[in-house]
Amino acid sequence: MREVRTLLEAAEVVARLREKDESALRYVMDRYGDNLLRTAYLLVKDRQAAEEAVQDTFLQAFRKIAQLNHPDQLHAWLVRIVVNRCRMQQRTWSWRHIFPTLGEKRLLLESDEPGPEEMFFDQWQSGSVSHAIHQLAYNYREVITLYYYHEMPIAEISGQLALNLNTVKARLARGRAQLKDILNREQEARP
Amino acid sequence: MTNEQTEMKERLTEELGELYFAGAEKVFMKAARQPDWKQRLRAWWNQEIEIPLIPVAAVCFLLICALLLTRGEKSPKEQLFVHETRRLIEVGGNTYWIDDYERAVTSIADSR
Repeated sequence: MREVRTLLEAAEVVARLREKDESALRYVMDRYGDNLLRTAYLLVKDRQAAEEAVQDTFLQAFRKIAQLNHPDQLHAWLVRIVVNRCRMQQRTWSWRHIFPTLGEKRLLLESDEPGPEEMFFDQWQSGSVSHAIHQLAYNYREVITLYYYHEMPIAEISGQLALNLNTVKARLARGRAQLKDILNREQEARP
Repeated sequence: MTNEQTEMKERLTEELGELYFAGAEKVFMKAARQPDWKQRLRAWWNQEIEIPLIPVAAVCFLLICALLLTRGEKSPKEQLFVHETRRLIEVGGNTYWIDDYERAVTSIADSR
């Protein structure tokens, strides 16, 4: 009964979004905003960057809602957009490192040495799963986030990331092994 | 869904529970204005493209091989030109290129 209601609700929301109804957009942001923000935070490791990725996700969804063929897949579609947005941010970041002058000002402000607040935050976070996920390489972070935070089956992750099933399996296996190592190390290091 | 997945999900939900999306108004502001040329350019530049590694590597390898093989080799036109300008002569039962022979004779004459 609850599922039927959810399906009807999703169909109605998508229909209203297609008519460019802003109250429908607000409803979608209220409903999925926190979930997408937490996903983006796990991926990009930065609160501000995650917030921007989610804003752009809702904007893109609002403008391109006609591309969503199955209204019941609204949440999965939003997750796909946010994952792509985060990937885009990662790519922009790497361009700045290849051509340092492009982001010189920002790099000067962002010192490699952590400040006292960052050190306190790191220490406080140490031992947490999210902190451990942040230490993984981006490829593994994506798969691990979808697998654990979104509890997606492997086949769905493969569709979401447009990756071969075996690639997802391999990344998941390596990511899980690394995650376990990091968590064990942090647990041992704790007083 | 495995027990491990459920347990991790619970831990993550608890850890990230303090994060709330607060950018709704900014989304409305951005939605109200059309994207300018800079944003369009950025969107175009940041498009994701996939380069198939094996075919591209194979093409590069073939190109490099072709370059290395043809390097130093004279084209048939150049070879023909060389044959047209150089002539073989027979002196004392031996065969020489005429220009080599003339050069050798000149150097002997000069040394005397």
